[in-house]
Amino acid sequence: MSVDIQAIHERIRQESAFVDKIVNEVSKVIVGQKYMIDRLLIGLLANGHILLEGVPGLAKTLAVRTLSATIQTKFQRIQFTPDLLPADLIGTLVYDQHDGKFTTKKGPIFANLILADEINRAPAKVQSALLEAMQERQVTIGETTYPLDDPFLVLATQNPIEQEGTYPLPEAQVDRFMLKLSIGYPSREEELEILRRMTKKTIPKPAPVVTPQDIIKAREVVLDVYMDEKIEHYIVDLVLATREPRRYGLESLEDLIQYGASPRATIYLTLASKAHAFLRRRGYVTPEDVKAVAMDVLRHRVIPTFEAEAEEKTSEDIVRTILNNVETP
Amino acid sequence: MHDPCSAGSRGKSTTILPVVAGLAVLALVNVVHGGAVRGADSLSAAVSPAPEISIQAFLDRTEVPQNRTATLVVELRWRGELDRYEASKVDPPVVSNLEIVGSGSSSRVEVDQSGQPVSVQTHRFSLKPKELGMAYIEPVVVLYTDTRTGISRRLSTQRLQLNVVDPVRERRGRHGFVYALGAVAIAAGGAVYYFRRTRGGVPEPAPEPELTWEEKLLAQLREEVDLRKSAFQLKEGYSSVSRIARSYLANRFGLGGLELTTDELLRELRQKEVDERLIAQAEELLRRCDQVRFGGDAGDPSELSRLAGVLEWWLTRPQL
Repeated sequence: MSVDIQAIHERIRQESAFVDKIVNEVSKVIVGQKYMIDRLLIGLLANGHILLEGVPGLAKTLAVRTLSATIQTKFQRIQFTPDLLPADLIGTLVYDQHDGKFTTKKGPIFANLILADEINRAPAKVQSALLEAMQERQVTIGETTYPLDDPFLVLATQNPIEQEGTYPLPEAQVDRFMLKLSIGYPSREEELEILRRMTKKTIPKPAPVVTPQDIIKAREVVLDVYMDEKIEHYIVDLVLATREPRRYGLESLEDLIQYGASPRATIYLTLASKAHAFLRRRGYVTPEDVKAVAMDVLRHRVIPTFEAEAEEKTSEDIVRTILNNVETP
Repeated sequence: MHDPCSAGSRGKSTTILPVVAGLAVLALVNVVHGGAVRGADSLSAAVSPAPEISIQAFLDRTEVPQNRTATLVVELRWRGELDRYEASKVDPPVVSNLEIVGSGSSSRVEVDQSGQPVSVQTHRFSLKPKELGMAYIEPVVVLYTDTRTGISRRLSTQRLQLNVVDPVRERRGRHGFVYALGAVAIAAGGAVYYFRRTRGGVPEPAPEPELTWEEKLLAQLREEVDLRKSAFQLKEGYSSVSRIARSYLANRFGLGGLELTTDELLRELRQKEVDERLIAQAEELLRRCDQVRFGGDAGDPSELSRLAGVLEWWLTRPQL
């Protein structure tokens, strides 16, 4: 079978022009954090929500704000707090005394890009309301259901070190995020550049360079990126290795995994790999693409056992072992 | 050329140098013979009494787990046809903390860049470690006679060392007892068979020489990438070349195995400071195979044949 890769390459060349523009604009504000920006673009292209985890001050919120500023689209930032109510998020019915009728007041969730800041600070019912909207891409207020705009992307942040007064997201709800990013500290050179750039009188502002239509068109091309059968099998092998490690010669992981990754992981790993290939202007997926995004797709979907915790093994250790041992095609 | 390390005078005894000096000599010998310069981590040695003929001995690894074997390769190489020199039988080397568990030899004639024939006589010895720590292989001495002049000379390799490390875990799982029981049963059956054969006076057949991993990969390559087969699938051929090339690089340089992607493999080769020419060849071969395997490219039989040729060249020249 010979696939017309050249045609896909050509379409990628045309539809990916905006990627450089976004990266240029974001780089005006954000120093370094290439990994985070790359993954945010993957979420945008693969239509998947992203959970960013990192200690305070790593520019998580700034990166998302900057990204949204480069897109001519509606952006909402929602600061999650313990007293937030679902109605504050999705909207409510307001009684109008003049005509004696209820009118709908839509909440901030009716936007294209949502920044759910410190998502683990709001109680479970608010988290549920957001996560339901993320999955269904629609919101019901009163008796009426409203579809959410397209593109609709939720970028949530959470801080892993402060657990006092927080409501950790349940596993089933974390599973709805396509990627969970672990944000690290910048390098010495980057830190120096941050010092110089962010202590000036004027801080650079990004310009809007992309329309939502550009993103929707690019998403169609991403879906057309060619994936060979061998790569499909590799993705399935990686996901199955989280459920049946013994089958892949990983007996040592057998007692460390309570629950493996769901089929949603297979879907998201496929989409994220295609988006990764798209960002590298390649019309087909290679094992490199799969490995590059596998950790971000799987780290929050593999639930370690108590034995693993006792041995100080994290889900990342487990995923790393799988990636280092499952044979590539 | 006067080489202070050479042992090549008629009937004189061999000079043996320390390993460090031997490694220093290696680079010089490789320059003289136009061979690829080996990385410093490779345990090998060579001595050359004359530019026409040389001997080289090297190990396929610098360290070996206690429950695995290492291969010692002794290679005699000279300009001209096979009958140009007559070499004596190469006796197994004297080893310490090692046991020789297999051996084999082969001869072949190559053609160098100037079109001249080069004869190569290769002897391989499989070495099994005894205990943890250092193991040593004493110099191998070869007596050869120039068939034109009738003059005999002596060639000697350098003393080599090998680090014996902790054994790797055997894949036995929880059924180890069952396997052990099975092994005892097979051993008992073998003993009965041997007893019957010896009583009946039937001579035991000579054991087959154990194939080296290079020879196994070469056989696999020739089996899987045979373009003359009617049912041959071109894409599968590219897959085989890629898989065998990865296995070769993993074995040769002690890298991770088939779980590495092309980028990871090339990155590790660069970290190990492998010869840039070999890395360039590996990159071209693996990336082209990836394009066909994953990129929907149809591939080309003549190109596949060329890539398989490159791989065969690697496998038949362990001194690379």
